[in-house]
Amino acid sequence: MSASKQTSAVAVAEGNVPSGPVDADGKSPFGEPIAAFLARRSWLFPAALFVVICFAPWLGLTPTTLRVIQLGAIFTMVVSGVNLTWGYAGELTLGQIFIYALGAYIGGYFATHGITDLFVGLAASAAAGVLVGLIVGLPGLRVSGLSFAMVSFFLILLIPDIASILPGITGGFTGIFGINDITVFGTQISGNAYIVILVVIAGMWLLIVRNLVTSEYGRGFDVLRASPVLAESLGISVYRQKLKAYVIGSIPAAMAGFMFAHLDAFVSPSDFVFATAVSIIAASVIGGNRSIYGAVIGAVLLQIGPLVTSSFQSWDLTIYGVLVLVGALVTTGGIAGLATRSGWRLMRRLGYADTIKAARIPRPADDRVPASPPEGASTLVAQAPDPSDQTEGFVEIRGVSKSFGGNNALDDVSMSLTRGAVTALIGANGSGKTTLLNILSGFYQPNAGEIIVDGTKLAGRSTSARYKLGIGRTFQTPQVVSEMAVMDAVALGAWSRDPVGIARSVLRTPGSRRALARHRASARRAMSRLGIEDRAWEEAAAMPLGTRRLIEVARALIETPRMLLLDEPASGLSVGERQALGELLARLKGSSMAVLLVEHNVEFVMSVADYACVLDQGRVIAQGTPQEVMRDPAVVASFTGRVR
Amino acid sequence: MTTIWAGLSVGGIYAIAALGYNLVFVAAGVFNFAQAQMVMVGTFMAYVGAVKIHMPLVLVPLFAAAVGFALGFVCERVAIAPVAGRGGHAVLVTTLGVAILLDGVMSQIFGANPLSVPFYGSNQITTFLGGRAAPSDFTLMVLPIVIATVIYLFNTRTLTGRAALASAEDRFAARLRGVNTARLAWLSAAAGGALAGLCGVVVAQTTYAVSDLGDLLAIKAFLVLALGGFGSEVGAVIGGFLVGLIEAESTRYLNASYSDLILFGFLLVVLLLRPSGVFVRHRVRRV
Repeated sequence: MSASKQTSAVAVAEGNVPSGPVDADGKSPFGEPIAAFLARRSWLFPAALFVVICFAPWLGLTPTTLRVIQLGAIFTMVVSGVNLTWGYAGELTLGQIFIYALGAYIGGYFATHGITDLFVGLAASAAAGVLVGLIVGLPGLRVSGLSFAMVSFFLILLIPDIASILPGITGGFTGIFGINDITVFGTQISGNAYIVILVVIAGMWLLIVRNLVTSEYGRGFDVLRASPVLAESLGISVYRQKLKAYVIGSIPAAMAGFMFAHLDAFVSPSDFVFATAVSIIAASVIGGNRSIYGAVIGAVLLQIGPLVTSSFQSWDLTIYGVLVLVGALVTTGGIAGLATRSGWRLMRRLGYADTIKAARIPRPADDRVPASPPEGASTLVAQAPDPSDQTEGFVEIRGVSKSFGGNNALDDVSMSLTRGAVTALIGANGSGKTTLLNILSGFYQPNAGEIIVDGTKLAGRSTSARYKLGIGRTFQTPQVVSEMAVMDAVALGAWSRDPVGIARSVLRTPGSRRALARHRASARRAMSRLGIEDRAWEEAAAMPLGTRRLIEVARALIETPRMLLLDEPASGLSVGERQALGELLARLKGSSMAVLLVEHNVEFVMSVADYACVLDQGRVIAQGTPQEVMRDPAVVASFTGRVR
Repeated sequence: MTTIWAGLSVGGIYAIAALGYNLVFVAAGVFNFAQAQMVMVGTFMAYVGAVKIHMPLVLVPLFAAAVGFALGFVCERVAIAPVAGRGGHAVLVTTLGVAILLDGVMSQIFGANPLSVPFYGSNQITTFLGGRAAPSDFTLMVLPIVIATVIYLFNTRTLTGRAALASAEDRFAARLRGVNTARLAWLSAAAGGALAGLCGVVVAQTTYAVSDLGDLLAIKAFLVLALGGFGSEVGAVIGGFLVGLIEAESTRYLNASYSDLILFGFLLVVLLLRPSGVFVRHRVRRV
């Protein structure tokens, strides 16, 4: 089976490569291969720039330019941490300067107390950054949105207070003078060597960010930003993920502060004033907060201003205010976003856009099916239907009630789901079907009753924990993250049950690559079951409604849930799509999962469901086989609106 | 007792700022960061009116309120309306931009040093219930209660006020019922600005006119709202007085440098234990 999948995968990838006319508008015959080569290795551009900047001290630049490079490198790290928290994880952090100041004071204190080693200092400041990140993030991120922004804004206010409370460490309002040079393995580092080390540290940090945000782990950020509900239902804890982003983003800020202490051998509270705090936010907005290299653009631009004009100082707040306001109003994604869009426009005009897009599609080898499926990997759907496998009472819903205000959405609902069977939940609008699904997947807590899946009580478990227990679902309105390929949108379903941690994602270990290949292989299997495999590398959010529904079904199926909740999967599907879905559901009979299908289309229900349960105004009015249920007078009355 | 009066008058300022945020938050569903900056602008307008152009003292509050109204309106049109509905903290960022801009412009025009603004009443320190305070301090204690009552009555008794409450509950449903939410948005921002300008005149007696007042007030107002709950007038008043008292007591018994640190710790504990606010009964739905 896997061999045939392979061939078709190759065909798909090759089919997407346009074999358009090469010389039609006078392009060089070498253009296409070069464009494809560079598109596949886009990291060559920042890498080349990095190498050039490393040699900056020997390029005969003016002291002002060198200063811009040094401060630019320092603030690149700070701004990049902001971008990780804000642009990627979606929580605006305004007080990154506090952590930066902390790192600087650690640098000053260490150096004036005989500890000059670079690695010790970086490790200590990183640890301090993590600590502050936890102290502020743990309470601050409890409530999403405004709360964290304001809590972090508060930090700006605390810098002068803490500086004056601890004069022995911070030197009070005068600061710390005469900070010794750092040492690396006992060698003093100053002048050009310091610049190179600074640039290398900033460059390494950017590499870490790049590897993180382009990994499967990083795609989790896109999910929680676009839809916290989806993230939770896929086993991603929004709170924990945001906290991790903030804590990780604190590390470069603290390290940047440490390096700053050694820039002028002087640290004082005047380095950490409101204007500086604001310049970091402005840099993030202007550079582009959802971009890896936007931090460089923003940080460097904001350093050039003060150094070029001497009157900048008195107008700094006004200028930052305008930059933040106009930047947020006019641009989406700052200069980096602008550059990306105009880059694509240019490539389209030159005729290379399709080549580049095609070249960026991972080669089929990247989602090769592993020779032997590792333990825990899905064996999905493949088993032959075997009615003897059916276990009754696999899922028990007992006496579940839920009211919103005075409105009883569910009233003492009891039903059981059979493993290896499809149970349809039907009822008029407002009868409580989706409420029951939301209780099963943990978005609502019931007022009474309990739910037991395969002997495990669900009470008190979060949505993300329930996903890991094996409860997968789809949504009435398909939740598909924009700017994500269909393949990756489906593979999201595999990640949280076979996760790759931050460290392994950043280091791109062979294990993490294998996990990615595994997830993509499962995704490809699930997609082929639903007949959407040929869409694998197109943008998921741009797909028609029917395909987006099937993407959701594939995503929920990918890791063989124990209970699969489908919320009106057939509505909006074309005849062919509905047939594919029906065939899939038929194959799920006898599998290891219990399927609960919420559906309005009675014909569809009759054809695929083994059992049916009818809700009316929050109460179960009939249960049994679809045929039995449809003959029930109470059901007929409910559906035709007759008064009983 | 003197410390308590001091705490209550400072708390009154925080409560006033918080009520301004609440006003806009309820009617328009946005946190207009620049709201506190309007109080700051109000203090400068009091300075301009009373000291620079020697306006009749009765007109000074009206002048400050008019400037605040205009600022609130412009802010809503320029920074809030264009990005409404955009995610990623768009409104917070644009209004933060406005706040920074106002901060920068005011410090450019008036300098960084605080400017004193004379009060109409006497500056005579009086003793009341064993504590000493200036008449303006007592005004600051009463003013938030008056404002909260007016806002409460307005929201429950008038049609526009009820529309504001309805739209806080569910903006989309309110719009379907014929509530002009766009008008409500600019009207509330402008009213918030006018309120801030008006109060700025009173606040200036205690704080003087100084450009970084707004940033400080924004933080403290948020703290008050985190305590009292967003959308609650009573919560804002009680929260404001509480924050003022904590600040005054910690300044007295420890040192002024510790007060913000203590408040920050307090905020973290509140967020950890009662993320929806201590005094809040029902939460304004975040749509």
